[in-house]
Amino acid sequence: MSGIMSKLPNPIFIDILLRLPIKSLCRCLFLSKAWYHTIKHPSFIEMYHDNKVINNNNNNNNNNNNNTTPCFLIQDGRDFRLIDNESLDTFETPIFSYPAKSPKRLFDICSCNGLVFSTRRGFIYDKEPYIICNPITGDHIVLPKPPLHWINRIVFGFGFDPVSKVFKVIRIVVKLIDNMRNDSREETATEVYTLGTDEWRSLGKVPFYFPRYMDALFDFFCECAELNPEPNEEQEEEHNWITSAGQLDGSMMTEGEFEWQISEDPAIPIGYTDGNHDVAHSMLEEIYDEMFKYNFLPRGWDATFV
Amino acid sequence: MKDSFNPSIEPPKKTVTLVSSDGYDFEVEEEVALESQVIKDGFEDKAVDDREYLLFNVHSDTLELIIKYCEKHVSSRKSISAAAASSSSSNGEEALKEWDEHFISVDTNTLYDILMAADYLNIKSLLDLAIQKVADTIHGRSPEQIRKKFNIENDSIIDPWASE
Repeated sequence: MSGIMSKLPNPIFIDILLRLPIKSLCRCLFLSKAWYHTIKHPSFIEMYHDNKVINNNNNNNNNNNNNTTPCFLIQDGRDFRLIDNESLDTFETPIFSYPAKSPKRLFDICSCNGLVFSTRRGFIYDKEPYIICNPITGDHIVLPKPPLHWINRIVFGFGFDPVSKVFKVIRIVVKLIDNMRNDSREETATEVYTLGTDEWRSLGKVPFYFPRYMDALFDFFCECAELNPEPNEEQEEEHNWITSAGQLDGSMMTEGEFEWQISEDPAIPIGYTDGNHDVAHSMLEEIYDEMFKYNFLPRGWDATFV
Repeated sequence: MKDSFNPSIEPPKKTVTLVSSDGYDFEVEEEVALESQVIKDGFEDKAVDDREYLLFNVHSDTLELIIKYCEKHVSSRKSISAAAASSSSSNGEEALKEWDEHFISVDTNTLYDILMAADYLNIKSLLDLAIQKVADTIHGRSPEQIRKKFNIENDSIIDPWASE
């Protein structure tokens, strides 16, 4: 008798697989060809994902996280390792390595619904690849290069749109425009990448002053992914973290008197009219809504990947 | 409706005969048999004296288990609703869950038989219970253990975790 499981009707077999946590599912991948092809089938993946997202949402609503497993991602130079409550066995092998030669640098990390978006933390981001990876399976893809290159500052968000069922990366970038008359100004633009497509879509310029606390927001994400700097990280890197956390505290406290500081140059923003801050404000609210929609902001954030 | 007259003059309960694949007759109460959606579906159309079901896919050993499960669920559902009606606290549901857990703790082949029978008879709660049992069995086991447990042949897929 070879495998009563293979004799089960397909719907039952699939129902069994759907109930497995992703880690067990990965272990089952290599049991036999039949298992492999069932699990790797696109429609099964979609079903599994829908199932988990629905369960996660229900769990969040009920404050019941029994079915989710917290995992921690740890950076070791270019390598990322995963720890979860179940095993340290996979800790030995890195789940993926960052494909550029940039060891000993911190990475920016966002996680959402089991996928992790990461890129190297640094000032000139455009030279570094953007990665989306699945820390459990170790699969990862390198994102195409974004169209904008003149970046001074940048923030990212990574989220899942439950309506269209796609993962998206949003990046808001700031360019410092020097118009040769010594009155330089900043211009902000937004770009969106949808997982599965091969290009970034531009949402155009936005009248958006880059608040300092956006940086701090990122540290939120890093913390929530438990991205711990290795003990042998360079001193200044660690120091960076501390400063950022300090900034965060400051910005949180002064949130009430937080200024948007919309540029005074009337030539820039869409929707901006002279002296009328309301229009610009509604625009900002729109962007913030957008960010909320994609779980961009740390609302109920945690380190749960599965 | 009067439910509470003397049990001695209660009319005999309506029964249904289930016939297993190996030819054994099982006489069960109507409401127990109606746990199966398949039986329920065509039930009203069948003549009262013709309520006999030939279950070609279910062996007598399995059928016995299935009937045991259905009887337990029918009776405990009654006691739970009775307890709810009299607003007395009862842990009927928890007790049932425990019973279920004990019931489904069987060897792999029996579990397979139960799965197939529950699917064939379309008994949703039992199917659910059995599927969850299989999933729980797989969860937390290494590939080798799963292969052994379910007799899965390794047909030459390269396993990156084979060294584990």
